[in-house]
Amino acid sequence: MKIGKRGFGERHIPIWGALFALPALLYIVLFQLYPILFSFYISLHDYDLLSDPVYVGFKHFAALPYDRAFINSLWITIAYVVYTVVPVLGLSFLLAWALTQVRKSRGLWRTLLFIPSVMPIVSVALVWKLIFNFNGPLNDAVTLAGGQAVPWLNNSTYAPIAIVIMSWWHAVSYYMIIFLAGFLSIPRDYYEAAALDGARGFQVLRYITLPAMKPTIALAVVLATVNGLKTFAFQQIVTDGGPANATQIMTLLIYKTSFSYLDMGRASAYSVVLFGGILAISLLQIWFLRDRNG
Amino acid sequence: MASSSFQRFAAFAILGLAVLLTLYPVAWMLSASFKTSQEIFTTPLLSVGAAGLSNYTSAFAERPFFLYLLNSVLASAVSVVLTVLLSALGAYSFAKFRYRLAPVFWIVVLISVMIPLEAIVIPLFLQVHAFGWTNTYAGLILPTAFNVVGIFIFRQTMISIPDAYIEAARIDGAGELRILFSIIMPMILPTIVVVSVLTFNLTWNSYLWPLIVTSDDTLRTLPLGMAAFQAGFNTQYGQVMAVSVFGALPTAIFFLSLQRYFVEGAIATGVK
Repeated sequence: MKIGKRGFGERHIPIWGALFALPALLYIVLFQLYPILFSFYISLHDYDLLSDPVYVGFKHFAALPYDRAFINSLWITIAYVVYTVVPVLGLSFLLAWALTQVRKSRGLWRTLLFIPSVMPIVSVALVWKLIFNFNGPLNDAVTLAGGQAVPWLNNSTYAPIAIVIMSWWHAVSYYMIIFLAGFLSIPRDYYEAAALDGARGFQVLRYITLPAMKPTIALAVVLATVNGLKTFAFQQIVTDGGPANATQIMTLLIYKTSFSYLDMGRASAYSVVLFGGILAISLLQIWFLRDRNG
Repeated sequence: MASSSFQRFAAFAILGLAVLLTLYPVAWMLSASFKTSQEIFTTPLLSVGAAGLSNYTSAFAERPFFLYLLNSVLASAVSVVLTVLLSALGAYSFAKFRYRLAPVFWIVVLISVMIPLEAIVIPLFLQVHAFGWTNTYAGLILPTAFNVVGIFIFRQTMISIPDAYIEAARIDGAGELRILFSIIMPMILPTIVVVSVLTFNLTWNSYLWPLIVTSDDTLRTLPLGMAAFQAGFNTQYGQVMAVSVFGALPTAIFFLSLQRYFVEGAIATGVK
């Protein structure tokens, strides 16, 4: 008898349990599992929506190393993830720490700082697009400081920087909340014991806070990386991948290759690569979670 | 946490600076939405614009923003109902039943969390096309309506409900569905709100899928309508900002009234 282990009555019918999971499972199979398998299938074909798919084997995958648009986008994506994840997590950790230091009106500070996370992403994109306008307020500040106005969004060197900066603004408060939850779950006794032992300032951070925060930090790294890989709206709305494809992140390349150029096979091969990257990082997350629960 | 006065001072300095940097773009958006095109880049942030509400009225005259709003509300509402329903059923199954297939089912749920929409838009589009759902509300809403994270959040809460409640109800002859909906669900109202707020916000912000599946202007959601308006009227910056404010208002009201649940939802997504 496997069931009834925790004292369920004999009238308990496990079949109900299986039935209750079915609607969610059906949905997942229909709109997630089947599509991902279908995606592999299309990646092995030439398909332009108009004529029937033609099987071409691994042609699209074999072409990837020589595909300049793909390689370009791959580097842009990796750079975007690195330049957003590291500073965003550093800043949000710092802010969360600062929040633990204030006693009065912590709620108010948190509310004010949390605004970017709840602001609609399109509103964020539109505002920052104007802030980065050549005549916009950021260049006002730059010229006021004695610098030269920067063509933020029309230059392939500066446009990726502009996108990264608005991503910081948008993302920091979300991870701040996660770190804050992590900080607040550290038992007070740890700090009291450390104080008794004479630990101060950075010693406390180094020997108490950081080790206790390790699982939270690991989780935040995974989350931020996956979210970075999935970014689409900023690049699509603010620069549309330009100038000269300098902000053509992988999601945008997939979108254009499939829905503008109707090259579904090639775009599906890109998707498979993107999925592989996200899957690898998500598996890391599961590993972390198991580590913590077990 | 013990802290020196220097630490306290540093914390205030950091927070103060961060709040300024956080609020500046928001203030700029609000201020610009009341300015004329000539004023936007030439007058200081806190000056009152001469445009009054004209940016708002002319933007609304140009595009059906209230229709976009309704579409967004509809999409978000359907997603919330579907997610709460499917997640609660699924979570009840995983939290309180032991059956042979449960581990297999659980693995399916775990896998689904790892499949990002961004990687399956092409097959999903082809599938919706095959259903004849392109440019319909069904195509716009259903394929992305279910937020699987709901299962994790509900399960976590349901596990902590003592089995005795359920057994007592069973002895009284209550059916399993009744146990779930009239005994368990009322006990976990805060969790229902967290999942609802989380799902609402996710759908409210969703951009990629609506962009792909709709070409009909009357089906556009608010984010799409806002982005399309901007693409068409590049130089009417005041109007673009008015539209941004309009898009942010519902979330702002929603956030201020349900802040606790927003924060809990953010944490729950992170921690699962």
